[in-house]
Amino acid sequence: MSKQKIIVVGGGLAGLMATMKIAEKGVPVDLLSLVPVKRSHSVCAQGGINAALNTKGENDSTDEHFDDTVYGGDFLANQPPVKRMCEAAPGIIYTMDRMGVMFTRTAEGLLDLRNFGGQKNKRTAFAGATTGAQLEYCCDEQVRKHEAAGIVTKYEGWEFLSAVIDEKGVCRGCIAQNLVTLEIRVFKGDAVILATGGGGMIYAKSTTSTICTGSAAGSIFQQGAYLANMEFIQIHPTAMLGDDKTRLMSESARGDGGRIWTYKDGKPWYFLEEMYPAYGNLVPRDIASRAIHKVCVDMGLGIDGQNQVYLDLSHLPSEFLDRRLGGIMEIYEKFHGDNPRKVPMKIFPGIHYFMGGIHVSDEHMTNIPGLFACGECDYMYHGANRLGANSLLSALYSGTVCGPAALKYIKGLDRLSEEVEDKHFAQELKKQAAYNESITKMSGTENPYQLHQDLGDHMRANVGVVRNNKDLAANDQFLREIKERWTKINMVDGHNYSNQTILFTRELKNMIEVAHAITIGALQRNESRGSHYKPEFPDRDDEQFLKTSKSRWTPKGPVIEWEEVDVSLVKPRKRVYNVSKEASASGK
Amino acid sequence: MNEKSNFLIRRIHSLLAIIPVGLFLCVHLCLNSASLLGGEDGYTWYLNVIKFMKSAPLVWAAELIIIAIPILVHMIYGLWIVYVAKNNVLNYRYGNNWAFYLQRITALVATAFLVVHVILQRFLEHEPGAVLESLALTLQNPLYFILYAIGFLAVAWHFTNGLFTFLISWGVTVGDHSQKVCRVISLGLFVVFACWGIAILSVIGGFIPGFGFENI
Amino acid sequence: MANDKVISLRIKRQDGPKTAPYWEEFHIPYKPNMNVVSVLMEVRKNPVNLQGKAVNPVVWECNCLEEVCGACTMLINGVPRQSCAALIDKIYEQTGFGKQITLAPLTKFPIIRDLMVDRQRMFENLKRVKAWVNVDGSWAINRGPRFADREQRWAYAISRCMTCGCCQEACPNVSNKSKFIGPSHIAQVRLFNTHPIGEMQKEERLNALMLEGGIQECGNAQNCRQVCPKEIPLTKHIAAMNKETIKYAFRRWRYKDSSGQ
Repeated sequence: MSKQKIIVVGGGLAGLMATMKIAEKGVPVDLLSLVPVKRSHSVCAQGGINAALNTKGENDSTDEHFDDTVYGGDFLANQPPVKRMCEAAPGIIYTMDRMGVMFTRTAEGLLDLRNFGGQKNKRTAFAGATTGAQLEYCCDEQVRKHEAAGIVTKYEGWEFLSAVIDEKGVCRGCIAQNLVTLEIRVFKGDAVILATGGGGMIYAKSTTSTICTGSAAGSIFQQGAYLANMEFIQIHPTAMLGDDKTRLMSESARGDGGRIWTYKDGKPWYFLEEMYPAYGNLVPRDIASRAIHKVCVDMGLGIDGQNQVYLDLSHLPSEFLDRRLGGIMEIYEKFHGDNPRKVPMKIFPGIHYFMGGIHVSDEHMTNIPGLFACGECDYMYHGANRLGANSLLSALYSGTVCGPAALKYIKGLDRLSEEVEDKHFAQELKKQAAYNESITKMSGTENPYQLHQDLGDHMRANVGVVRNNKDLAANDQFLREIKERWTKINMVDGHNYSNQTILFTRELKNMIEVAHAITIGALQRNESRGSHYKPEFPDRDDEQFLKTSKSRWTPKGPVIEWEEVDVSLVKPRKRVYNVSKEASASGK
Repeated sequence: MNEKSNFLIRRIHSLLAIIPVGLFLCVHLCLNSASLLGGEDGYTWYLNVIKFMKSAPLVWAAELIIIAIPILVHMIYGLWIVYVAKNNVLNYRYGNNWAFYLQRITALVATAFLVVHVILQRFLEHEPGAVLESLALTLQNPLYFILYAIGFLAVAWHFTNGLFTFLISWGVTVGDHSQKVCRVISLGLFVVFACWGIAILSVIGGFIPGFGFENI
Repeated sequence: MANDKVISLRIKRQDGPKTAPYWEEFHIPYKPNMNVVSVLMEVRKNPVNLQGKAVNPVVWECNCLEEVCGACTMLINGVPRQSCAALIDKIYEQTGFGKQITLAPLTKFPIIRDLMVDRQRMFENLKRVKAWVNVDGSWAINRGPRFADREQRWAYAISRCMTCGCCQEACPNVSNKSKFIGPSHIAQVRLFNTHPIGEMQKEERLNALMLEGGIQECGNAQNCRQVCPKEIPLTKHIAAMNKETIKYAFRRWRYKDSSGQ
């Protein structure tokens, strides 16, 4: 076994995949996760995973997949990594299949494929409507095998607090805190991989899990790592509104024939089919969300006068629905009460996914050497809008890139993290312990959970589907105030054991910092591109903004730098979904 | 004892209850059914049957191997199983959970019953006539009759429900349908056994006028 | 009027693994469409008990809030289930509006604090039964094995198990007196023994299933089937594995020689 060690933070698909890749090469991994890895947020993904398997007689190809992805992302993604991802996709699916993922099958025992948004070919492999859970369980099992063999050590119930950076600016490990004992300790590692997911909890009523705070990204942001394209937040068009969160109703519902409609003049109006005849209900998510928003908010045509429209599956046979969409049938029935096999589901767009994230190189390394990021917490593959079923792919693929990249990196190191002077670790540990102590003693008047609610409500209202500079500026001001209010938190829990409030208060601070990066990015990007839509600037402006926004933390607020996008493979063209891609390419 | 012996013991425990203990129970009941003829005939038949059995060669060996050892093994290991369970019928009021709970209750009741039954009818009295007379005398007291009946019902439930679980534990009934059918059959068998046993006891105790042994 | 309605909660609390449990009551303003998690979230925004005393917020686990991750499992009115999927209105349909709702931690796992328990044991037991497909590595080779649609249908149902612990909680044979690995894991063995590649190591898993605390500890109370939130027909899979283990036991005995197998 190698003397070197790599720390992976996060047990979702990306983290587990990176762990597997490293463990297979005989290098030990410390795997830190907030929750038992099997409960990571990847389990919430439903519809499927894209790969141009071309088994449906449609002449699908990885080139087509690549083109759909960069086009769907409004050309903001660096193209070469996206191309490599699409080329690797079939291999990844086959590997997952060998590992035992219970993909839905055709009658002859091959992987079945379904339609998904923003692409015309059947390209999405799936396991009912619980594909994310199936993939996550499979990776969990493989990592458990490595754990049983002793090469992976899991630290479940540990929160990443900060990276340990030595005098040369190289990351040599991290500080983490145990959620139960509240112990804060050093984890030495020759490389640290963050696979900590998105930050949906920064918004109220997102579709994400409660652990998706973006806290780890916020933490290293304050340590000098860049965040990129943070203003691009995917809003999923079909989510079921709840009191505590919105629950995703998979895009596969439309892929398998679901239709969106509302009443207009007393008759059902299939507005997506009418507005976008080429793609119909399968337009990409940003387009669908904006259309629903327009119909409900601008036109006032929501069902029962509220912000909701129908997602209708009731015309499809029950047996078909249970087989292919059973997972969401259950969720809707359990959480709403109506039977979606009989009556249409009521849905509205909900905050869903962070296209942006930690800025990384093609090798998934951040600007801090030794600190890597993969999965939803990086910014790499989706540009300004992610196509459905590409997130499971990017999570797995980025893990397969990041793991080996970290291995390559540590091979070139001059000394082991074990040989680094203790003072660097001791310093950071002391800093984090003191910070923890100060949080424990907070005795102001603000309840941290209430403060979080306020943050989420503001973000949802001001940095949502439709953005304008006045609201964004107000939100900037609000965030500056909330940073101040944060210092006046009252530590409502007085225990020093399994105290969730201490950890939440720390996360909240990081969330506010990330929220600020999102807001400032959105404020400065004066164009409309992908999920970022400003009626004041309704068109895409490649001249000025075909650029990655890179956010650098300063005590006074984030500073944005702009970086060229690598569009060397496909020339950017206008993105329209009312006509076919061929027609758009020929400039009609 | 290696780690695998636990599986073996548990499966043997379940098998022994059917073969030979369950079979013996059936034979026992059949022989005792001679008493159902009632009156003097029944009495004579019953005595003859017992005498015939007792005269068989190597009866002691058969008693030991077919009856005593299997019952003891099943009983002793079964008490451990009863001890380990954390019953929860009040929170989970499902039929099969009740059956599970009853299986453990009846295990205890049946154990007590068997101990008394064996001491009284096997060890304290040897001569068949005397056994029958003392039993008849005991059962004429309604209190003892009820206790005896409860003991027998426990045995009957434990056996018939045990058949149901045996079939699952040995992987015979796998799907819902076959398990449901066997559940119904096991309940039916319990009713049959219950009626059968109580009838024998009633005859011996003289509760069925004209059929009893009370005047003999 | 609506403001007068309250949700009455009675929560079994415990400050740590070694301290004594106690009950505490909370009243939360009623809103339609709430679930137990959202009620608990309201409690922590204003942690004041029925007596008006400021107390520590209730500690519990939750994550996805969609009944997919399994984290928020607890006893709600005595029954183990995910608290996110326990809709207050649905509970009231059964018990009557405003009836007090009782929350307690699972009893078959060590308590950490309040409603939070340590379910690590289940993950350890997954290691024991080798619940994985033993592929050579995660690299791309070529297409996976063909697998019949009819097999996939029931295997998929097993693979939805989220290791939440409901079946373990309800099983009378899972107790601190026994080492029973519990119903979910037996079904997991069947899942991996069915996969065309996993099947190649099926003896290892059957063997693990027959060790102390294995499949033989099942007493057929069948509560597992009733409480499984994913409605996995656990009893059926247990029966099928009963058959497999017995077949395997005979086969192992018949073929055993001095070389060991």
